[in-house]
Amino acid sequence: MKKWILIPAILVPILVGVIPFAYGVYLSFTDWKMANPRASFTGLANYFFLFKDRTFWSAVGISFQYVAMAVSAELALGSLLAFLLVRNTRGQWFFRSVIILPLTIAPVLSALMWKLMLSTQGGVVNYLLGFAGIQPIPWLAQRSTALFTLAMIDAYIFTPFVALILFAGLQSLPREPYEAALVDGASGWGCFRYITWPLLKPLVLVSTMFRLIVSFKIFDTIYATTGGGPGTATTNLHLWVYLGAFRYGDMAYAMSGAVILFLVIYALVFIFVKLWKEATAHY
Amino acid sequence: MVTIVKHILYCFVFTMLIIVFLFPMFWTATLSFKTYTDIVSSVPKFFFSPTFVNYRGLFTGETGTTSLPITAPNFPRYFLNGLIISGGATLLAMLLGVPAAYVLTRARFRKESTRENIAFTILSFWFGPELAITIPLYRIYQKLGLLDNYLGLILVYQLIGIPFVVWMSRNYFLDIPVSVEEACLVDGASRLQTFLKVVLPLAKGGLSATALLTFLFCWNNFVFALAVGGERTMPVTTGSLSFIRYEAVLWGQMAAAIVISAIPAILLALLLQKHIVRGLTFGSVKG
Repeated sequence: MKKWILIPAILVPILVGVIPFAYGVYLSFTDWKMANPRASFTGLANYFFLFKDRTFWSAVGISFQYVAMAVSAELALGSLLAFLLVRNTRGQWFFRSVIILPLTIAPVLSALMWKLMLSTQGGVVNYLLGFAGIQPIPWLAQRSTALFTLAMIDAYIFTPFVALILFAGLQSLPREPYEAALVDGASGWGCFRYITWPLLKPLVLVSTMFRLIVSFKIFDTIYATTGGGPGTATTNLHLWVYLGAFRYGDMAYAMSGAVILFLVIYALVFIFVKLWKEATAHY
Repeated sequence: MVTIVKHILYCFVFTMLIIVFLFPMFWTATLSFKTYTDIVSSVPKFFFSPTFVNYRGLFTGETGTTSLPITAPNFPRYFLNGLIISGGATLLAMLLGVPAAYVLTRARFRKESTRENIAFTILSFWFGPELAITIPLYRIYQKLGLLDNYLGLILVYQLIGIPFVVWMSRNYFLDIPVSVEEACLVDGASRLQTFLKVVLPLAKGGLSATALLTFLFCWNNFVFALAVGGERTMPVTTGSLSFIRYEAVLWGQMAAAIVISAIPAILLALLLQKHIVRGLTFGSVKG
């Protein structure tokens, strides 16, 4: 078997991914700006500024808040949906098709759809809430609700992701252990605790880790709806990096933030890969 | 009695969920058939006389209202750009990724763990935060003249394409029993002949699903196009933002653009139901 066939598939991502990133790490030690393309070496200066920069820490905090809200909602709703779906034997094809839709539409387009619906000027959500006597809420335009609203848009798009994976898991559960457990007089909770959960655990892990990683670096839905605002209320780390680089032109400084983001993501990836290997080892 | 109550409750919860999932798409679709004045009216209209003015406007450049003296975004161009970039990226990713995935499943390695390590290395390219790569890439592309360039975008889209293709097609190759290939080799066929004449036809269904999903992931990408793309190469994702103007938001045309851009995705979702769970989890879960 000619193993050199593997080389192009590794080389191309290295050329457009690994090398640019390594170059980026170097650039984060310079004073490169949009207006100053010369980029002379300044050592750790950017990182010193970064750790004293309130806007940076606020962005880190917002990233974590967003992940906590979005991923917990997705896990809760996703497992509920999976359990409902697996009990329903007749309309499965239809319901699966329905929940697959949000996953296949570009996240930025879904976010724009919600922006249309959440508007205070003729937005349908506020209109419907009006029937319950609720005054129009500027969901995406006020500090107190913007981040939560974005996390819920995230949940709209990605709950089906968790649901589909767990649904696939539930469907492939073997029957025999349950029958044996019933004969032995096990309770419903006992069945779940000792049969369902151990078998589902690898899938719960996989979906959680995928969602953690992707929602930590979420960018497009926020950029398209609030642009990080109002103020900096929804500026997560990825958006902070973008605004620093392409709006304020402070390329090297933004890159130092991107290096931190990279480290957090790859710490997660490292854990993810480890857990995945453990979880799939016995297949 | 208890079972009937349970059943009703169950149906109720299910219907609610389905409404929540479908309503945004339904509502966006209705907006695309409304006039500007119908959309911005303070009470949303559930009944209205449908108009095709937004769809026509997407292609003719008219904004559908005379009170807004602005030139419309060039939607056909965005659509074409999306096809060129996603199509090119998918083609390249398949060409490089499929043979690599095959070798990865069949080659003998001195240490068995090497196989998984190579696979995980390829997968990990996909997880990188996009801007940590595109900020330095912006500088590199600037020097190479690849900013706002189809080739530049197709290359950077390989960070999505190759990991996905390798992981997806690897699973389909693993489904093919090795004994089939061994039989061909015993009959005197070469490795290449076996791959082209026996393995590829057997994996055809899975590989076309892989290609279509790769296309979808590229079509839906936003960040790369935003950072190293530009006016000339703008695909529908970044292009859809150009309906938000300083003067006014062209809600109707934006809704029409969303509907048209989402059609490929919706068709694929229905066509590829069986493969989609596998695809979304990079083959870790069989749907």
